Amino acid sequence: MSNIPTLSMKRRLKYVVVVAVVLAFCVLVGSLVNISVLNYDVYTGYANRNQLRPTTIAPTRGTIYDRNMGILAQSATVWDVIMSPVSINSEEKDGGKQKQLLVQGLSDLLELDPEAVMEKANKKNQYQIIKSKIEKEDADRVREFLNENKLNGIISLVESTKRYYPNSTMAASTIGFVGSDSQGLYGLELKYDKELSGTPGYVVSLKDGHSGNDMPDKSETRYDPVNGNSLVLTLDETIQHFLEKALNRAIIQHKPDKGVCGIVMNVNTGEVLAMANLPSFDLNQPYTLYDEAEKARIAELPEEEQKEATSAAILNQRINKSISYTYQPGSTFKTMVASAALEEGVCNENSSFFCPGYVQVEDRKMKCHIGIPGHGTQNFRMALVNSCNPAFVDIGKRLGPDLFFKYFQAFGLTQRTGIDLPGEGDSSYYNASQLGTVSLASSSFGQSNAITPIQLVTAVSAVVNGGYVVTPHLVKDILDENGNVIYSTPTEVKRQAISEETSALMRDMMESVVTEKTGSNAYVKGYRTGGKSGTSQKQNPGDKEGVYISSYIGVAPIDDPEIAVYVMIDESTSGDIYGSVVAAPVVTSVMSDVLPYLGFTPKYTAEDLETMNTTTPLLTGRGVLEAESKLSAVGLGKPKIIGDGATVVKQVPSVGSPIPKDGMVILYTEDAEEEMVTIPDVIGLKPALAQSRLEKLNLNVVINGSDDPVYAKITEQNIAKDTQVPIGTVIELTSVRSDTD
Amino acid sequence: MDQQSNLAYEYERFEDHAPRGIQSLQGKKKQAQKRKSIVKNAGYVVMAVVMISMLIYSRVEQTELNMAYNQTVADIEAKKGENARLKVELEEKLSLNNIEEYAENNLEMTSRSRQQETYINFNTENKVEVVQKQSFFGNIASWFRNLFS
Repeated sequence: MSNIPTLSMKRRLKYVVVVAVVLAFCVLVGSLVNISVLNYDVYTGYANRNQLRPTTIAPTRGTIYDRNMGILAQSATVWDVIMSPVSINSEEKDGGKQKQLLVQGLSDLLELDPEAVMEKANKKNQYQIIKSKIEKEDADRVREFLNENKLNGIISLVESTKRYYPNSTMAASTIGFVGSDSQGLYGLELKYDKELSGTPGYVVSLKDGHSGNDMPDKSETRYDPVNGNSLVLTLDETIQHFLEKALNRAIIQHKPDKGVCGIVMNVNTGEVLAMANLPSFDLNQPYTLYDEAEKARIAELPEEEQKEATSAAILNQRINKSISYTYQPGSTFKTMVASAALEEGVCNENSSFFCPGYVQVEDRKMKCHIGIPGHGTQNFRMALVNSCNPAFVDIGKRLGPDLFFKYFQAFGLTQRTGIDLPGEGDSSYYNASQLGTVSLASSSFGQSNAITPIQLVTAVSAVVNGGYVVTPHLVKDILDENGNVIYSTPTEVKRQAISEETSALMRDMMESVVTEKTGSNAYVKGYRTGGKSGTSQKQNPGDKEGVYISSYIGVAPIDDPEIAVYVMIDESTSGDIYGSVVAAPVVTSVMSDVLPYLGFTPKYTAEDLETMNTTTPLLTGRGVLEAESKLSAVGLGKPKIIGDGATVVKQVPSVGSPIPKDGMVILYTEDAEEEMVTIPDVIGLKPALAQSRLEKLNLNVVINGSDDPVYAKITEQNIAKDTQVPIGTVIELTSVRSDTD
Repeated sequence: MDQQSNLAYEYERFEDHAPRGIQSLQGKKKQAQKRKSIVKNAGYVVMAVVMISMLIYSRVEQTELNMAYNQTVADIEAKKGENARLKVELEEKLSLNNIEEYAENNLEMTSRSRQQETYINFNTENKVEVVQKQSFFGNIASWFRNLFS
């Protein structure tokens, strides 16, 4: 037998091998078809779960602008410094060198306590926040430190956002603030959180196993984030500044126990141009007590009470009194009662009233602020000018409870104004069936019913704008991320409470409130304004006895009103309580700044021009005779000349300084030392007496405010007593008429 | 002719043999063909390797470009964020309170008073009109227009 395989053997082998290979191939193909066709979804899912990573893309929060596109709030990228303590080399490995280097480096760069950082480094976990929200400069320095020392695996910089408020305390309780996750927590930030937040996007992408970098792949899915919309407010930064400056001066002067608030609003559209509540707080540090006086008060408390007191004070500083605080409006409410009486025809301009200084209502004796013998006989207009309580009790009685409540409702005082801020307060009031004789009487002069400042401003706006109750609002436009306007707030007129004729008459009467009394604290030189003051006793539960709210609401220009300015001072401790004394000068100061800013040209009367100052001309370098002639040309008197020279080498006041028309300029014709005098204390004196005392010292006196010879007194002097100044210096005094409401 | 041989059987004589010359020629051809196919196959392999390498290289390039793109996007976002922060810092420095404080304390300036303001009323807007001389044909056209006005 031969050992050589035969042909048929070879052929059989060939067949077996082919069959085996084909079978194996079929199994492989079948398996492939099963995985990639029949169970495609299942296995793709497994692969995606292993390889794909979703990453959220945070949207940028929208910006808040004032009406002139000044930035009030904006977000920017910052970084959190995160440490993974378990990734630090153990003590056994390098004797703690790496940990020490890390702790020292981070503490120096980020100005942290090394012990605190070491404590975090000693933890047994992977995530410790070393410092959050550091800015790019610090982040770059940390990156450099990590790269130099090869510590990248232990420390990472995670992107975050931080909200910046460039004006810190301006309109703080109105704008509000955000939390650590950029969610709105207060004010407009909360009210418009949905519009400002935007929508996060996300990307699902292939990541490599080594460093987690993205690898482009057709399975990558990307949803772009939608950045938040921006808000353009009705607030005007400049007007807000004027209001806050005036309110700050009021706080210094009257030291109110419960702060102050102010509103400037367009009476026709309801646009709020300024809204301030002081003491304020820093929006960049909303959890820190800002007011120094409050801090000092808490520091004097027992230690165990300080923490709670501080927490309460921090919450309190955020309260937006302008919209959430209810109070008895006092005499400012008389504008609405007067409007209702005129509209219903129960009174007219010539209706007569008698005030003996009080009025007896059932068993209650309700006093007039002027006391006995009272205002005597007065007409309707004078009843408003005098703010006479007995007269308004009579007017309220003539209206009756049904009509009284009808107009209370018509002016929007039974419901919220609808202003676009969270936390608006609800008024409390007697409805028609609850108004008895006594409650009707007290309600008629603004005690008993309690409303919010924004309700009052809205109602008085309706009194002067033709009778239209508008909805106040703070947001003018909403912009998308490309700056396109996607929404504009329209003027919403709720109803007409009184007729145009009644409104015109009320405007005229409110102007009389300002002009009838000489040297009124509410008079703004060059402008026709109207207004009403209010002094109301606080009667909310928890209020102390004998504390008052002093308020004033002014409207200008009264012949065609554009703005209403309201100021409320809560619990003045300066000794003055009347709205006309405490709040009216603040409104006057605000209007003096705001009206020219808004483009209203002043029209000075002859009396205004007489009392207005002039400007000191340039006299240095001129001959003495020439200087005298120049002074005479601008209406100033003969100068006082010190020295024997022929040329002026120095002048006091300096060129450009305001100087009263009868003021005296001191001219030095030699290089002599200036003659100095000490400023006396003139606060509390009548203006004429204060002027006389200062002029005797060869000082120039400018008096701003009331020039009433009987009731006015000096409340402020711009240069403090006991200060040494050269003769000829101009001293500015503020004079306020301090008689009743 | 009879063979002159000592061999009993020369089986070789009865086996088929191609003439020696033809055999070597065919073998050479086959060898040449075999060499050609080896070269061809090697060529295919090289081409396949090159194509796969290029594919991998393009993917690597794509990934690197993607990384560079993502890095650039991240840098732009960081710069945008820094721009926003600097804008806010500028606004802070230029706040009205700061400006007023600086003007009063550092530059010894005071706010202007009312008497330092002068208001000028313009009844009409200022307007400048250049009178253009009309051409001969322009004059004729105006004359026709005036006929119908």
